[in-house]
Formats: sequence, structure tokens, C-alpha cells
Amino acid sequence: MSEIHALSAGLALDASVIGGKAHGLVALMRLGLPVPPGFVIPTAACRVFLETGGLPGGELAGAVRELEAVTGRRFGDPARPLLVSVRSGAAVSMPGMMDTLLNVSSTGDLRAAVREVFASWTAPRAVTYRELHDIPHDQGTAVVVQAMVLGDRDDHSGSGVAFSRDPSTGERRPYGDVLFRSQGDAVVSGTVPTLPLDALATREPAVWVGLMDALDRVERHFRDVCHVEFTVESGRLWLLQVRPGGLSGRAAVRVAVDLVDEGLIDRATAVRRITPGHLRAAAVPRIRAAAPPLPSPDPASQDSATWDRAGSGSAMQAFPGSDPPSTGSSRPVTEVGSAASSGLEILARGRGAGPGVATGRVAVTADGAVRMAAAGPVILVRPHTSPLDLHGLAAAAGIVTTTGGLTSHAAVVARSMGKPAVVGATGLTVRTHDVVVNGRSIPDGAAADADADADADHMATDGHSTSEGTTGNDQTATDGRSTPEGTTGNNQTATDGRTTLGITATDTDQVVMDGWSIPEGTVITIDGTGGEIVLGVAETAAGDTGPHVDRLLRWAAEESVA
Amino acid sequence: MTDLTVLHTLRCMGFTDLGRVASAAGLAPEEAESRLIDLAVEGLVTRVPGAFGGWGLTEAGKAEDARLAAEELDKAGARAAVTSAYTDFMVLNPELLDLSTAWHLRTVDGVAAVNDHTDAAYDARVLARFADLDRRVSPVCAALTAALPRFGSYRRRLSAALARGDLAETTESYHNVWFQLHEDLLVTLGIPR
Repeated sequence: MSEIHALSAGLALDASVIGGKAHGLVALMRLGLPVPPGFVIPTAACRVFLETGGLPGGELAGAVRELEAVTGRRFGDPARPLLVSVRSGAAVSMPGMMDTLLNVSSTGDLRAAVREVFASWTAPRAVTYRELHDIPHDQGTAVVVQAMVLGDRDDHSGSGVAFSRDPSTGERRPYGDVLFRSQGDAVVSGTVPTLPLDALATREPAVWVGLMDALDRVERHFRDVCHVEFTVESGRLWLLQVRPGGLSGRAAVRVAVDLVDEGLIDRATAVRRITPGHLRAAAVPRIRAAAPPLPSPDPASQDSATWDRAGSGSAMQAFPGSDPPSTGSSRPVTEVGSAASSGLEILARGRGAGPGVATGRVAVTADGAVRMAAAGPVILVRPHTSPLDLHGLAAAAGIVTTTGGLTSHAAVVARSMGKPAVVGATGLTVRTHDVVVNGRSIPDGAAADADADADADHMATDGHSTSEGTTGNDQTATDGRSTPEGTTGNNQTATDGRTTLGITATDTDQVVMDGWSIPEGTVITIDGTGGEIVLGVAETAAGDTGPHVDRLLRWAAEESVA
Repeated sequence: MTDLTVLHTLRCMGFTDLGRVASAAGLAPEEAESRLIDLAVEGLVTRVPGAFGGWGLTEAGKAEDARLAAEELDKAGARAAVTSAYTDFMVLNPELLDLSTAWHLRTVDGVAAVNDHTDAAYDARVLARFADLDRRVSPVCAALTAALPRFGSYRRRLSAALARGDLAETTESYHNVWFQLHEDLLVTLGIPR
């Protein structure tokens, strides 16, 4: 029977033995960073379990006793109960494919949980994942057991994910999502609007400082961009996972070039890290800034095209270490600020689900899309789609959903039709006659509720002149600037349609806080690679590779000569 | 007497043209059209003209379909069996979505890229997993058909899509037929999406 190992800085075992997750946690501990105490059951124990059904019995009990001693807590102790998380951790990450159990509170529960995680290695869905990603079937998964840290404990608690650099652009600034009073699993779903990472800076300044220090240390250790999963419990920062790399396209190129300039890697390493796939991805047409910057070899200059990622979305959705990790999110307030200088108005980011750029007028129902398509290109914006929306999907030039991921109905159908699509744009809420760009402080679940109700209206009517048009949620029209859907299909300029809402509690469907109304008919542009949704007509950059790619290619040429 | 066959078939397909409704309902197009017109007279379905037009249900049609489907389910005493099959179906559903995505996108050199179907070995792996999934959904289809014979059409349509290699391409693709089965289970059991 294989040994169980306490997680410690001194644990010098390969990821193939203890799994990638434990391997990363050990690295964090060596860097002196806060990791909840725990132990790892190696992959070998999984192989034994799959063969014989047996668990490492005595050793497991011993590991629990040790953890009880370290934490000063005990399973079943009413005063100081020990609660543990039980997570899978294979040598190669298989995000979301295997089971995770939280708040395990007794030895019996723990054994059942370990059994469940081991067994999930052979679940058909996991088998399919390995088949598709060339991962061997005979390795098994390790199991990481750690004392729970509670992100939902109080007002000074929360969970999030943080990238050491912007995974969308590669720019050197911390990026991520955080949700206060929440456990990580509550926000992984991607359906809850999260806050931008820097919300931590104002609300928990000490945690922010600790997190920035941690990101700096892991970057220097891995000599690459990293992202960490973290939980804050009563003002104390804990790191639950670290993963280096994982960016793609222009963002990956920019990071590699910047790391050379920062002296963390040499040119040969940078060249080695960038695959032909990254260069191909860097050349896919993308939305670009309205005012192109001056071409410059200066490493500090900005890429002319601002977004560089395949597969974008809430950073939370990258939580389990999805590959490639996701980025972007519902953070219109900060985005609008940063985009103003480049002439773009970013309404929201979702995940790029069908590559390409499309510009058209917003339609919020499938019927509306069909009707409006007669007059020109339409972007269908829906909470999610179903077969009931197929005619709208067919009529639309591009598709946006506010919920769902890369495997959702909308994503699959859009790709089958070769249409640009952005899914999981959680910063938007679809209403009867418009789309609302949520503010930063929308309460948990409010968007989801609104989505469900808005969906119920779908196909209800031909889209105008019904009782729906007079419900309270149409109050945006009262200031005279917003155009209710149906009165015109040609509401050209997006900014005209922008209206500031107060808190709106309607008797029919939604509660919307601090949003901007984007009426049906407003022109928007979507980027199905990076997941950006932009107000108005945006220019595209086809094959515009930018100064970082140019420098990297020059180095590659020098390498091959040398 | 409202015709549930055509009404419910159209409900699960969503919005589509006459030929596809007829085919899915196992009817000649003329017969299906005649029944659709009767349903339209009842105010249950409507036809949208134009290039992207077709047949779909009205709100009244959706409500009536939900009522009739529930009535049919309880009359057949099949609620428990269909609920159980739905549970089994939902275990398989995420894998179908994974596979449909894998058919369109794949990771090449560490970057997600459109599957251009030039790598026969990769496509063969995806197809093999589709076939495996299809074998595992068969008992679900059989249980559903035993409970309510009208579910039998899905097994036929899934097999036809797989045989064509139409995994997620057309309106009659494996993915779309699967999605309609999902919709059918939700409507039949009265579960909101």
C-alpha cells in the first residue's frame, strides 16, 4: 500500500506521484505562502483501489490524527469540529471531470469521499476527456485532503481566482474575480456576477497586499504567468491552488517577451514556449482599438489589438484550472474606463464560443432576430438558447448568451453554423425589450432570476405592442432617451440608447441595480474569440500580430541562425 | 380533439419547417401540414413567413401541450418510469455536450482551435466516444419507449444521425436530436429549463 504524505515544504515528490494539485501546493509552501494543512493520498493508491477496491486504511486514520493535531480540531468535536475538503488531483489536470467533496466531517465520510473521488477516475465522462486529450488511462488520480477554510464565514471572507497578469492581453497587472461571503464552488458556475479582483484592495487591504506578494513570488518561482485559487477566511488569506502558464495567442506571446525583458527567462525559452498554435491564434481576426497606436519595438508599448485570447469568460470559470484558462468577466465599470482611451465601449465580456467578429443590431428574442434580420445583420442576445431559438440563431449574424459555457446549446449551434458567439456574459441581463449591463453591485442571483423570467417571455408575442411593453421594467423609456424595442429597428448609435438606471424593482420580473439599458436595435460588435461585447461598430484586426510577436519572431530567426 | 403528436413534436423541435416536423412525427408532409393548419385554427401554432420562417407554438399552444403531455403521462401511469429515465439521461448529458464541443474545437499546441477535420485519428476518437455514449443512452431510450411509445422516435433519429456522421452539424444532428429529447423530458415532466 502506498504512503500518505502530509503536505509540507519538504515533500519532494513528482506530480506523477502526488498529482499536480498537491505538487503546486508544496511549491506554495516552499515559498512561505499560506496553504491550509492537509495530506495527499498518492495516485498509486487510486490504482490499487481500482484494482482491488481497497483503501489505505490504517494510514488514512494516522493521517487524520496528524491533521487533528496540527489544526487542534477533531472530527465530531462539537466545540472545535474538523471539516475537510476532498479533491481530486491527477498528474495532468482534468478540470471539472472528477469529484470534489467539501465539509467532510467524519472518518467514515472521509473514506466514502476518497472512494468516490477514486471511482470518478473511471467515470465515462472522465474517460472521454482523457481520450480527447491524449491522457493515459492507467495513471489514476491523487486525492488532496485539507482542512476547510470558509469563504462564506463572515463579511471579511470570500473566494476568488487571481492571475498574475491579464490573461486576455498578457499585460502586467493582476487580474481576476472575487466574491465576498462565498465559497469557491458557489462562483465556479459562472452564472453569478463576480467582482473584479481589485475590489479586494479597498475592502481587505491587508489581504490584497498578501495576494500581490503571493502572485509576485509564484511568478518568480515558475518564471511564468500564474493563476491562483484563493479563499479569505475572516480576513486571512489562504491559497488553494496554483497553476503556471495556460495563456494563449497574443497574450502568451506578450508574456513570454515581457518575461525576457524582466530577466526571468532567456530568449530561447521564450521562443520555445510559443507554439505554432499560439501564433495561429494570434492571427485570428479580433476587435481592435479604434485608434491604432504607433508601431514601436518598445516592449512597454501596447498591442494595437487589445484582446488576445481564445476562450474567455469569468476568471472564476477557470477555477479548476481549465485549459486554456478563462478570462474576462462582468466588470463593465473598470472596462469602460480602460477602454475609453481606445474609443471602445466594452459592455461585458463572456467566453469566446465561436471565433470571429460580428457587428449587428441587438435582438432579444429569436422572433425579433428573424424580423430584424430582413433589414440587416442582427446579434441575438439571450439568457441561453434552446431548440425554440433555432430560427433566431439561423437569422442572426452573431450570438450572445448571458449564461452557459463553451459546451452550451448556443455555443455548439453557433459553431455548427460558423457564427461568432459569446457565451456566459454574466455582466448582461436580458429583459423583455432590452439588455441591461449590470453594475458591479448586483446582488447574487439577481441576474439569474431575471434571466429565467425573461426567458418565459420568449416567443410570447411578435415582440411589440403587447402588454409586455408596458410593464414596469420598461421604465428606462421614461427619460426619453431609451428606445423601446419594436418602435424602430434602426436605432443606429449605441451611445444614444444608453441610459442610467436606478434600482428598479418591477412587479413582473427583475430587480436590476445600477445598470445601463441597451435597447433592442442598438448596434454592438462581438468578438467570438476573446468574448468581448462592444458598443457600436468596432474595427477588426486581421492577422495584426503586434510588436511582441514581431520581436519573438525575430528572436526565433536569430536562434535558428545561431 | 387536439392532435398531440404534431403539437408535441413541434414543441420539442422548437421552431422548424414543415418537412422536419413531418419527418420527426413520422407523417407524410401533407398530413402534417393539414394537422398544423388545424392546430393554427385552434390558436396553438403559428407560421412565420420569410427566409428564416417556419412553424412554432404560440403561448397558448405551449400551455395546452404541457397540459396534454402531463395528462398523457399520468393516464399511462408512466411518471415514475420517465422520471427515472430522465435522471439517467442527465448523467449522460454533460458528456454529450463535451463531445459536441470536441467535434468543433480541439486543443492544438496548447491553444483551442477550430477542428478542421483534417486529423482523421482525432475525429475517429471523437466518433468512437459518440458511439460509446450512444450505446449507453440506448437503455434510457428503451425505458422511455416502454413507458410512452412516442419516445421511440428519438432512438430512430439518433441512430440515423450517428450513421450519417452528423454529430453536431445540421438541424437533425445527433446533438440537436439529443437536445430535443432533453426538451421533451423537461416538458413531459413539467420541469422548467
